[in-house]
Parts: sequence; structure tokens; C-alpha cells
Amino acid sequence: MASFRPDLTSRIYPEPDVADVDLFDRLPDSLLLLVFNKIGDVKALGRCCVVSRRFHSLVPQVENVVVRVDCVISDDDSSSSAASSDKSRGPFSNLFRLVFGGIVKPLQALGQFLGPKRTSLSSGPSSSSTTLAVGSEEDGEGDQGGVTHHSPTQVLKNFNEIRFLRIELPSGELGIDDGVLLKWRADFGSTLDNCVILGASSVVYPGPTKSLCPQEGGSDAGCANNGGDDNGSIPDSFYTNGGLKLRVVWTISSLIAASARHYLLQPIISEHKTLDNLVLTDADGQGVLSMNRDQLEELRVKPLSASSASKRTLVPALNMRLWYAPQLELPDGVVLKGATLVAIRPSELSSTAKKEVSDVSWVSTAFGEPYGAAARMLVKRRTYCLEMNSF
Amino acid sequence: MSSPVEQITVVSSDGDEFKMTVAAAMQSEQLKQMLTDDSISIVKVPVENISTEILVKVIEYCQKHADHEAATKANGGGASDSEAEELNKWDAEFMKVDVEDKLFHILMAANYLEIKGLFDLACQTVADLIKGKTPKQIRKIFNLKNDFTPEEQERLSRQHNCSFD
Repeated sequence: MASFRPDLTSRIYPEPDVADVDLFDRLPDSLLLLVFNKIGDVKALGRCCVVSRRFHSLVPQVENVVVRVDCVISDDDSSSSAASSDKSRGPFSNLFRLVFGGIVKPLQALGQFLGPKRTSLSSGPSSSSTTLAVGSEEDGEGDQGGVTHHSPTQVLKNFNEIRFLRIELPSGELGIDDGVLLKWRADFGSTLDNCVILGASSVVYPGPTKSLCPQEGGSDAGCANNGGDDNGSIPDSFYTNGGLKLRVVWTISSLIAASARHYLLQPIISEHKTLDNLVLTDADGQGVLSMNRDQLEELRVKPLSASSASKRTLVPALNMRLWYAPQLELPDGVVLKGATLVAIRPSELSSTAKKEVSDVSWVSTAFGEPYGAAARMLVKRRTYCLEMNSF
Repeated sequence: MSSPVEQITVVSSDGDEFKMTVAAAMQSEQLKQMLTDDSISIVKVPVENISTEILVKVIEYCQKHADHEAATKANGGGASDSEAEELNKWDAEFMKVDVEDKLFHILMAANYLEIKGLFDLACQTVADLIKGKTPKQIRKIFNLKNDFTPEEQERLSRQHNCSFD
């Protein structure tokens, strides 16, 4: 096109001897902040704080933060078998042990989650999982002996304008048997707003040669015929063979886990008033606690009621709806056996709210795929209603 | 009313001219404004702060994404997962550029021309370069000076629990 091509190197780029120009110099603060907002990880942002003065002044303005909790504290500091999750300390885990026996593994002392800064007694990173905290950097390289952990509350102190906060626990709190599917999603304000639980006693994945024809019977792995085996109602055996009891246990465990998480978030929520959205999830994808702006504000205005004897929020009296299918085949070929969906709302809310039994939109949208499909299929079936007292 | 424009010409800061299809140009909010404003009859659009080398990259991005959108529409609206993934891969390859030379220039060009996809992509690329690196490494990649005093370093190091290196 152009008949003369300018010498690009000398026109556009600095002379070689000033090649050490600060690349970020060209970016105004607003753009740099946008870049920081895409980093998310609080540890990376912490490192940015010490890169240069400019970075240091901008990081506190970051709006989008993700905190990955590294490991779990047990009350017993001298605990050496940290990897084992059999340690149960504190009233919380004891409650589980008493009520549920071996069904649910005792929870770690989640109460230590947002505790004060602790210095682990071990010197190497390998003995981790003794603290539920955001681990220190570079695995102790160059530090004066010992790995130091900060609680999430402390780590977030540097930030003044967080709008979107996501905290990720290293694993789900509920120890469940292999093969069992259990997922919950709960929304909280000052107390529980709603909770949806999806479970299955086993999950069968499609084999490589799975036939797509639903009419072929015989193969035990799949080709589940959802429509024809029942009329959508719950078989009587469910009530007698322990199926219902197991689901109640799942439900209570999930609610306990959710309310414990909620309880622990208080200090963070009261300190960060700019929050628009807060999500507390875990790396297993087992449970998601979510709070939007209104719900966060509600908690600041109306403090939560704590359940006595355990570090968790009081769960109000509840109305629950349960859907069950002995066998459910999802669009991607996965088969859920003993598939269960439970939709929970405070009784108080249900009785006054206009939208009643017919509104299930919040239930079907609680989970991402492929579980969303399971939820949508289950809500079409017959419902079983339960009530539960506050606990 | 002039006949529909199919191509526009953009001129880099070096004076080189490039043709862009309208579809590609519409990826840029700035260019889109101009194109949809009937009162402007476009002949050549000078983009003063964008060099030829960067402009070529930007146009490449816009064309690719315009093509993808057209293909998606032709298929009835939804991009299939594999197509979306393919585009992501293309984007990733596209952003494998020299940090010093091109990355920031592309970021600012995308900002100037208001090409959201490219801008987000460039920001994310810079963010990814920062993640997982020590402060020293970050400084090295971006030629940043450590302008803290030793006392400040000491204090901040404890506060943020990480070394300056």
C-alpha cells in the first residue's frame, strides 16, 4: 500500500539504551486497576503490594478478590497427623459424631477458620493442613524458621473496596462415602434464606459403548427409563428401607455446614461494607454459600442468632420439599441412583410469601450443569413435604 | 444516503493504510459509532496512537472475531462448545506476543478503540503474567523499579508475609 515503509524500530520503540522503561508507565492507574481486578488471587495481589509504590497504592482498591484457603486448623496445635481428618475437636464436630455416627466424618474445627494469626510449630511446608488459613508465601523460603499463616480476615485487611469476594475452602466439610453425590447451595441474609440440596446414593458414568436407546433393557449401567418406571411419586420402600432417613441426614449435615460457614463470615462482612457479592465455596464443589448485596446488608443491620453450643448460625424453622427418583438419567448419559432434590425455606417465609408451591425457579437454577439438568428433571416429579424445627 | 459501506480504511500512526471489513470494524465501539452515524461519511480513519505493527494485530483480532460471530449466526445462534473452545485457543495463541514490544501496546490500542474482547483478553494476559510470580520476577518482566526504602521493605515484608524477592 504505502510506497515507503518507515523504519519501524526506530520510530516506534525506544532506543536500545532506554529499553528499561517501565512498561506499566504507559498505563494510567485506571487501566492498571483493571488488570489487577483480573488477577483475583489474594496471594498474588499481596505480592503485587511489594513490587513498587504504585502497585502498593493501587492494590487496596481492587474490587475482585479470591481467597484460597490452604489448609485446615485443628484445635490441637501439636497434632502431627494433620493429614488425617479423623481429628475432631470442639463441640461442632462432637455434635456430628453423636448424632450421625459414622455417616458424616467429623468436621474439622471450623471455628479456627478465621482465628488469629498462628505460627505453625513445624518448619516445613510438608506438614501443612494444620491450619485453616491462607498460607504464607514461597513455602518459607528465606523466612526465619517456620511457616506463618494468616487468617482470611487478616489477609483481606489490605483491601478497602472489595465488591466481589470468593473464598474457597480446600475441601467440602462433609465426609461422604465414595460414590455418593452430595451438593448444596445456600443463600443467607441474617439467617437462612433458602437452600437447595442435590444428592444421589450412587452415580454411574456412561461406558464407552453405551447405547443411546432408552428402550434397551438389561444393561445395569444405564439406559435408565425415567418415564416408565414410576409415576413420578416416591416408592414406599423409600420410607422403609432407610432412604428417607439418609436424606434427612444429608439435609441436616448440609444445613449445619452452611450455617457454620455463615457464622464465620461475620467479621469479614462487617469490615467490608463495599461488598456486592460474597461466595464461600470449596475446592470439591460440594457446598456453595452465597450472599448478595441485600443479604449482606441485612446481616450488618440485623446480627445473626447463633446456635447455642456451636459456632454456627441458628437455622430457623424450615419448610422443605423433597423430590426423589430411584434412577435418573441425565442428558450427558450419567445415571444418578436414588437421586434426591431438597428445597428448603424458612417456614416463616413460605407462609407469608406470595409465590408458593408453584415457584421452583430458584430450585432449578441452584446448580450448574450437569446438576442443573438433574434438578430440572426432579422438580417435575411429585413432592414430599417436610417440616423441621429450628436448630 | 450513500450506498452501504463494505470496507473502511484505517490509517496507522505511521501512515500505512489498511482495509477492514465493516464487520471487523464493528468489533470496535469507536469505529462502530462512526459507521452507524449517518452524518459521517467515512473515507479513512486515522488512528493516531497505533503503530502499523500493532494495528495489524488488532485488525487480525477483529476479523477473526467478526468471522466467528457470522459463523455462529449462520448456525442459528448458539456457538457450540467446540467452536468456543477453538476461538479461545486462537485467542491464546494470538496473545503470545512479546511483552515488551507488543502486549501493552495492544492493550492500549484495544482500550482506545474500545474493543472489549481484545481489551479483556490483553488485561487477562497481563494479569496471568503477574500471577504466580515473585515480586522480583514481576519487576523483571515489566521493568519495574523497586522504589521502596529499606525500612519500608522490612515493614511491608512482614505485613504481607512475603519476601521482596
